Amino acid sequence: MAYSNELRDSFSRELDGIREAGLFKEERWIKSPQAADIEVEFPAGAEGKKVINFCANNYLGLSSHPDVVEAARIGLGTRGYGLSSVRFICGTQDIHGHLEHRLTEFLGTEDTLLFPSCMDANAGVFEALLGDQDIMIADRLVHASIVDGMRLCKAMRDTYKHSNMEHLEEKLRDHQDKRIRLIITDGVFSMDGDLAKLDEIVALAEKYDAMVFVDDSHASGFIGKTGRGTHEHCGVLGQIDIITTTLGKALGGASGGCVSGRRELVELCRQRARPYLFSNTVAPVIVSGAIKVLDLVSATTERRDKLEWNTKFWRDGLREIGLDLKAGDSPIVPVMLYNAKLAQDMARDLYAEGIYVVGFFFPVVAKGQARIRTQLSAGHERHHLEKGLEAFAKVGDKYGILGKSKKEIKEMYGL
Amino acid sequence: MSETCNIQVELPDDLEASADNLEVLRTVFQTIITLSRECGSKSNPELKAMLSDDWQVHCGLTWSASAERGKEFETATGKTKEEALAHLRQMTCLHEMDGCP
Repeated sequence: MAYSNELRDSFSRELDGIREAGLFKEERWIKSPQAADIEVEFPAGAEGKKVINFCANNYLGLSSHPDVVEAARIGLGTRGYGLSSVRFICGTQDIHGHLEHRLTEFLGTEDTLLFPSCMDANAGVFEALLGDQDIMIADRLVHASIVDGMRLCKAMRDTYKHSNMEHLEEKLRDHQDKRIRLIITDGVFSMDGDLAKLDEIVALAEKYDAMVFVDDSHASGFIGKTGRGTHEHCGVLGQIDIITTTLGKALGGASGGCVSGRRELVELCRQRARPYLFSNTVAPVIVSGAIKVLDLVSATTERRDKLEWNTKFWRDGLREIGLDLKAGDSPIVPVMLYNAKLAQDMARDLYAEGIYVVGFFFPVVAKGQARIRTQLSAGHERHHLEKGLEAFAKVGDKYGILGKSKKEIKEMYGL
Repeated sequence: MSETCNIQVELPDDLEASADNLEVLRTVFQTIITLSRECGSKSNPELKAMLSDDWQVHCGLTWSASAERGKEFETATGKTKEEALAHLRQMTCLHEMDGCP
């Protein structure tokens, strides 16, 4: 079909519809390395503005760490820029094996397989392991990539209410006739910042003979006493059958992800997972940087400890100001505003005050649950946090929401 | 389907003309017509193509179920109505899950 004017108009109307629904995503150009202090050009062509970043997944502040950048530079010099191949033809270097081994050690599993991203890991893992006699039972707030992976798999699908263990148990009981039961959850849920109850999930898995899958992308490197992840925090190290995680957040922030877990399951992914089989190898420069990241996070807990301190300081500060927060311990701290326009307006005003945050609303979160999601980093210093709190106090006061309850905010602004 | 033929049948007094019952009747008539034309036929070009690729093909009549909500659409099939709806529910439940970035 030719790309006719009619067809062009049709696609344009689709875009108009996205704009009218208030869902049009605009990129903001950052003109500096990723860090607590960044320079942003927004809107396009505007003069660069220096802002404090409270919306990156740079939890450990390692995205631009000099040792990581240097290791990447060495990797570039010694192993080249690219490999022009998938892993199983001629795309596996010694460093890929080393990184997989290091991730296995760090996560406390039996084996690990790298993917171009965790999105790819989640897209490929279920189809590689499960068939039509099996059932996947997922928490209703798992990441979008897991939903896509479940769609690509022929196993049966079911869900349980978010972190509701009674509901999960009911589902496990219902599905005792299936060959394999796989419980699927995020370790830390990306929008609410709450942690999965992995200790209870593992206990249910044992009781009802199920396997457990955890996407720990928002946890690896900093959740748990030594940063191993949600399984360490919940005291179930070595008891999770499949962990997927990313190198694109705390662990350097570049790209790449992995499936880690029971040896046979990882080997089956190596043989069958289509995103692994049919996409290029992770670039040597990223692999080299990621190995250095694991050196850093294995040597000391200083960064995750600082992140924990920053998170507490930030949560306490926002609460003292009188803002309504989602409860939790993770460095994802959602400021609840409930109304979509209010979330957008406040994010815009905070940007004007030099604080870079983003408002989230339906369909990214449930209707009436609009919020500004703030994310802490070990790269934040106390003065960053204090400036952020000042700005939230000023903007919150402007909109009259300080000290107001959910009910009062809803009465003022509606849903 | 090029043309719809209206057939009138007398229903027993105790049979309610509910949507479900009417759907059963419609499906039965459709099945009779389909079977009368297609049963045992190997002349379908798609079927021939698959057989020549060494596929063992089974083609049978099933229940089909679909669900629509705004721009979201899912469809599923099953040997029974319950099975079709169960498969459909598995698909629609994925829409109830969050899409957080």
